[in-house]
Amino acid sequence: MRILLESLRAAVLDLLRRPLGALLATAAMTVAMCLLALFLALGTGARGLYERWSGQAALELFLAREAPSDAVERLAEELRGSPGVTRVEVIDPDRALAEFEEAFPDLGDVAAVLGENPFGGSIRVVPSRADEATVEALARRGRESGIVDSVRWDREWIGALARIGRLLGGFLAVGALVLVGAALVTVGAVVRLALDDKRDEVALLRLCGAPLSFVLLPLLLEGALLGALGAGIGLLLARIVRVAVLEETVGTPLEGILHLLLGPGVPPPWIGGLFVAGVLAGILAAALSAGRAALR
Amino acid sequence: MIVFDHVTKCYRPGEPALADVTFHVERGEFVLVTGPSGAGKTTLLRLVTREVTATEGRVVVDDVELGRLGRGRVQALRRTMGIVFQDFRLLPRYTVEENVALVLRALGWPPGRRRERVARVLEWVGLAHKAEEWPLALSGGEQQRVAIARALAPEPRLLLADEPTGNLDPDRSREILDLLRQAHARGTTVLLATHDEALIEASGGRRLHLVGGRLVP
Repeated sequence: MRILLESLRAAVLDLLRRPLGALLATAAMTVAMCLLALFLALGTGARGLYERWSGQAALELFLAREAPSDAVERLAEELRGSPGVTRVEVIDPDRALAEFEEAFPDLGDVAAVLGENPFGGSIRVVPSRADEATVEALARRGRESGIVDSVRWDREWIGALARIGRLLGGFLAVGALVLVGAALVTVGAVVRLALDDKRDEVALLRLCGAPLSFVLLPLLLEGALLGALGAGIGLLLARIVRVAVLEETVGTPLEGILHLLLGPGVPPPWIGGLFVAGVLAGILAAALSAGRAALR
Repeated sequence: MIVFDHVTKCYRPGEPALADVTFHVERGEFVLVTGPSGAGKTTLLRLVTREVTATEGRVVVDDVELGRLGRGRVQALRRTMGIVFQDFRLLPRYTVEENVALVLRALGWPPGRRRERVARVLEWVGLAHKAEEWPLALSGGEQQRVAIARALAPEPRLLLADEPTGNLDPDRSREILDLLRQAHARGTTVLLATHDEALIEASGGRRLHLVGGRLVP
């Protein structure tokens, strides 16, 4: 413990000896961690949104106008008994019209304008599993019944959105990794400068028989301090930015989507994980840049 | 304590800095390694500290053959040695007492014992009153006395001094020699590399004379 405290003191003094370098390294780590936290918040929000939408996605089997009601009931019953089905509802033409009018109130009384209800009946199936095989089996069963005109699967466009989201997430992750890499290089450079600054001291200590831990520990702690400081400030900054964006967009057209995406924020265990990752990144940068040189 | 058995050291192929050197130093001896510049004195000391390894032959210190030592054991071996350099190698960002204490700190001495030992060695080299001074504020002779205090603080069995009077005038050189003799009188084995004829005459220790990397009678 004494050695740790003495090494910590040496690390702090080294950082204070080169405040500009320490500031630069902390800033690089702060920016990297802040953006990483914001990407994670966006990712968490997007995932929640996707799960919510996809949980509500339904397979709609549109019935032929002449479909006999007993055949419809039979098919609905059969589908209820199929594996991977949560709910099956028979939507008659009147309910289909009511739902349409509720969804699009601006279009007025469609039935009155057209003189008749243009909607046919349908069977709405909500699958519990979103795998393609389950959905395809349900759709095939509907088509084979002879009373189904067409099939629509909500999840197709949600799936497309998810693919786009994954692609964007990939780009963001690569961007974040590049930023973290830059932060690592900066922290490493600062620690390396510290080592260069006391090369004479390290050489002397090695000649006196100082254990490697005595030489390396202050350098590793320096990296850990820079990582912790950068990660701490970065995470705090990300939170401030998130809250500010949410507050600033209240009452604007962006409010809804931003609340859905940024509202949940980064889950607390992830915040702890990011902080630890920042500290470990600092230690790694220090070890990579200074470890080998200190051994010479 | 130290055995050189047909030791050759080449930094470049075919150009030996030391060639077929054989000698031994008993525990408690005061031995001078003499010779002109470039004779191989520093290389000999660096072989003892295991900064370099022999190209041929064996170097044995305290019954341990250095060529076979792993990194951890090299450090353990170095803890039994004190080293004094021609250019003092004091660290300018630490005060005199911090310079001496640093080595003890590195070797894990507890703070209380460390303070006590630093005070004692600084008293011994006559610089207790300059404990708070910065090294660069001291004269060359004083800086070398601090370096000797630092080397002897961990109570080493072996003291290696590489041209410790190279940058000093004759009076200061005699002071340094006196300190080395006192350390020897307390039981420390001393290996002193020098080309200072006055120092060689005054020291009276056994002499290993090197010329062109070879020991000559």
